[in-house]
Amino acid sequence: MVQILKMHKRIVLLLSLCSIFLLVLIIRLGIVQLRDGPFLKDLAEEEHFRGVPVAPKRGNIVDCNGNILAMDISAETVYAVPAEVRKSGRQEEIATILAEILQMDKADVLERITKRTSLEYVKKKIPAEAAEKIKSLNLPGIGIVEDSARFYPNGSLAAHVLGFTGIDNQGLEGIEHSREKELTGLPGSVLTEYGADGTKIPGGNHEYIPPVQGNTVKLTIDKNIQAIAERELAKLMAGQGLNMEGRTPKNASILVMEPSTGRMLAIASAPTFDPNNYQAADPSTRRNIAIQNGYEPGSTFKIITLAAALEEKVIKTNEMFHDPGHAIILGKRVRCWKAGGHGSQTMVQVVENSCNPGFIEMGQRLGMDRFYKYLTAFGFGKKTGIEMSGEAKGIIADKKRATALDLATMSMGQTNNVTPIQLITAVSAVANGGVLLKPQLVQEITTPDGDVIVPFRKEVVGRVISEETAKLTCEILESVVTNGTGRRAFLPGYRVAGKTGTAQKVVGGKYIQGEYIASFVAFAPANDPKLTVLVVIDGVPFYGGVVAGPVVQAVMLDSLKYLGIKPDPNAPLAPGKPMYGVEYPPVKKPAVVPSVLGQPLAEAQKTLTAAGFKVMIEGQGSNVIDQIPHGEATVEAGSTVILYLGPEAGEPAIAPWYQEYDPDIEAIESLGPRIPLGSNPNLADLAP
Amino acid sequence: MLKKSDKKVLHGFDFGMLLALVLLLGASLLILSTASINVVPSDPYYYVKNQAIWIVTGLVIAAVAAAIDYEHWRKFNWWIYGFNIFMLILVFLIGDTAKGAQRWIPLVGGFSIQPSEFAKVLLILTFADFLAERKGKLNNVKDFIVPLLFVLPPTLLVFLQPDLGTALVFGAIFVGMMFVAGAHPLKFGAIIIGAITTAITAVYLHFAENLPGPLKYLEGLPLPLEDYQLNRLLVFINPAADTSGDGYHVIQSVWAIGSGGLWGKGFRAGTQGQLNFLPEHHTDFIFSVVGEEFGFIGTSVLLFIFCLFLLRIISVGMKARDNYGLLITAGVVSMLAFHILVNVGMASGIMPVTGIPLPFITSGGSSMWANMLAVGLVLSVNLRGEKPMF
Repeated sequence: MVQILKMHKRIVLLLSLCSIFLLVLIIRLGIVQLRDGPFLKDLAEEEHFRGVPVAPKRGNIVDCNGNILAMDISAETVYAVPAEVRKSGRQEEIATILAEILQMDKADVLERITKRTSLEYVKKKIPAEAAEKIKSLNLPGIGIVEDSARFYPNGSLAAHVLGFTGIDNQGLEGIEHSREKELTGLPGSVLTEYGADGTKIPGGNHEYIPPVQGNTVKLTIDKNIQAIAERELAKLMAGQGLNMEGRTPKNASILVMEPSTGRMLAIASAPTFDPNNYQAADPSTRRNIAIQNGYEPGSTFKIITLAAALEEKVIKTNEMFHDPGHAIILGKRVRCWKAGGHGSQTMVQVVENSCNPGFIEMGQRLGMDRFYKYLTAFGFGKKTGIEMSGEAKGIIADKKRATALDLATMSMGQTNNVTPIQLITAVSAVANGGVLLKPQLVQEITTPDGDVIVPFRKEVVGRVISEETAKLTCEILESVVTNGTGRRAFLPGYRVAGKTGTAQKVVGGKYIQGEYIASFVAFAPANDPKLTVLVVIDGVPFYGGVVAGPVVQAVMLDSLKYLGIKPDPNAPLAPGKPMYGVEYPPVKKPAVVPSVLGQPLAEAQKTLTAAGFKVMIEGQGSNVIDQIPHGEATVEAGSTVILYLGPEAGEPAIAPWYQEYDPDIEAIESLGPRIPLGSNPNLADLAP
Repeated sequence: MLKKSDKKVLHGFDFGMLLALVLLLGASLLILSTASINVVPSDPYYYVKNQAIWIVTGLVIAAVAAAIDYEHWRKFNWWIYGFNIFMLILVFLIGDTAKGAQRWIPLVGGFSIQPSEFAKVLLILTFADFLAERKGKLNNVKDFIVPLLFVLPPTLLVFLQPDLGTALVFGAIFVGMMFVAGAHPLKFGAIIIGAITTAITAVYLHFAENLPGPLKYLEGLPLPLEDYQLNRLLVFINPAADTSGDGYHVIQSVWAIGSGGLWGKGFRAGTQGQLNFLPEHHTDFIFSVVGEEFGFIGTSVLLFIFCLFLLRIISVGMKARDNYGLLITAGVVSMLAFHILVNVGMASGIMPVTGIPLPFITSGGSSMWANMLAVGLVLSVNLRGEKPMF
């Protein structure tokens, strides 16, 4: 009995032991089910809900007025659930059917639909009929999910700015690339319940998580101004450029900036491409030359030399400068373009005449240090920071090794290498009263509902010259257009300030003769600049004023009119001095020129004669492709309107032009052989 | 035999134990009707029907065992022991191999039985007599050796099948019954802890690499276990290291239990089990289905019923008329408690994957019959014990 009592005690202990075991289990279950339950539930859910991703609609890219430049359109994607396909045992048959509908290789289809993955795409962005057909066949393990494809409704308009997207709708270039994060949106999915063997559960749960559309990127680009710029480029590339004698340039770019804010209203480059079909385009056409190419700016750069000289007060506007016809630098005779020189002239006239010895004098008076100070302050030699990939820095001559001759050529805009975006940004700083701004492309970013999430913010890089200097420079530049070498950009009724430029090209590390980069930069109205326009035409045997001037004139006039900027009643209606070929007598009795663009010659003549104008005909062909003065311009009643003729399309219009002196070319030639700067690939790219 | 006139017998009948048993059997049918619904696609209730047959036949076995006075078995003790050994040897001779182990003896009609399940109960029965005969002579280490030699032959035979899980159950029965029989607690405890420590050290050395000094000669210590068996034992420590094999089982099981939360996902609404992510969800891992579909409430209630059941068996043991009866109940409690601990511990990720069933719940005929036989023996002790004090 003692023994059995002892055993009673022991069995109670055994019970206690069992109770402890059970308690341990309960605690463990509490941890797993109560504490970790929600987390483990998510893991379990994830495991058996297999999502077919539904691509979000990519955000739109719109211009500054909300016009759509890039949008998403629906497209369909075929996917396979390989486990289901394998289970059906009809792999071969399914592969054959799909290969035929999708026009794919059967072996490729078979590999995809039997791959050991939970979900495999067979083909993306298929035509609607193909999707319909596949849906109707109801093949096991094959499904269609709505996807989207990028569409650029305006074709090549602003192609270089917009960029394009790849097969997965991912931005590859341009704004599409730089704003990928904002544009992408959040993918949704169709969740379907799947078993452990990878097959769909009949009657299983479905859940649809809608995708969230990406944000809208509103650009500073104005579709209409961009179109005006591209129209002019198209004309140039079609050999119909004014004074181009039917020749086509290698490439060309037109930039339009709002100088007061740094907003880019247009960045157009030619050749261009259609982002809807970017794969078909020659990769060289996708190069954004306005941002990625450097060139020697020539006389357009003299604006910077002038502004610096005025700011440092090394010159006075009424100061007399004697141009003997050359300047001797380090024993080299740098000639002025005018044989025998301009003689005695004011500094304003030096600028009007683009007199090289005058600018060399300004450079010398500034000296190396101060010249470089302004060179860098205006942003040369470094990226402007515009939101475009592959921006070139340009190259400026090493200050430590620069000679007096370098200083002389740099003052004239030779030697240094700049990008078009750098030049327009620097000139805009003069135009806006002396503040260098960061050029910008994105106006704002809004949600699909229109709520602004990233507003526009003007970004000031720094003040480079005083307001007075800027104002003075503007006035002088205005007189360049009114009285000087910039008269080809003269717009009757508008105050335009600007400067021509012609630069030698560097090919294979050497300057080449007979082919130039013609450019023109201008801003208007000169007293309150709304637009800065830069035209760079690469690879032409012509000078800046002659071929780039009229392009600036066309872009400026059409853009000012489009923006509703009224002609200034105080602005001159004709240049102060006659130009070769085009002469504007002083306006006594104003009259408005009717536009006859695109009309047959006979009809145009009739219209103009009826309005009291004389008609002069240039070129050959049946249609008017251009006219000077432009339609709606106010000029002297009874003056002559020049009509440029051309065929409807195709053949270039030949506008004969005579040889004209260009101060840049004269200067370049007087320097003899020189060695171009650096070996920047961007320079090499100037070569065809 | 129980006489009809013997009314005091029913008077002492432990209805609490019967209630717990009925609840467990009901729970088994309920759980199987959700856990096994997708196992045989042509017949969703295949396992439920089978289980119902095992329960009914098992209850007959229990009733017969209860009716026979357990004292009768003592006379045939060595015959039973011999029969037990014979059956376990027979497995090696004519046994069917399933999942890498020889465990089954085929019977007519496509059924087969698993002698190791019955061996547990027969060991309890014979070992209870063996210990009762020795009457408390378990005071020193030498006294422990003979009982060990008694238990070792059937244990080794099961271990060699190989069925490590069941062999460990034999060990648990040995430990539990020795303890209740009065083994010196300190000495016996020291030996048990020593044995466990030795086993762990041996396993560690088996896998050890780059040990310092002379210990390096012990690296890769040979063990009578295949590496895959050891891996199964150890995988619960870090299931993420083996996400496709046994680690996958453990991970899926813990996810299933955890995702049930407090209230569970509802009857047949569990996803891990129903969608086959959880393997063996109608056998070894059935507890995970309970956890997933009935939540913490469900698992707690089930464990509470088990607790009640064990409590009643111990209560029966305390009123047993002799040591033999008491030791039978102690053996049954040790066996069942170990099964519950290891099975639920395995499902919730704190015990090795040994593949031993959850008593009465897991589908399986041999297990059900063996457990019913154990219940019958306990009832026999009950019916012949003291009158209830309450």
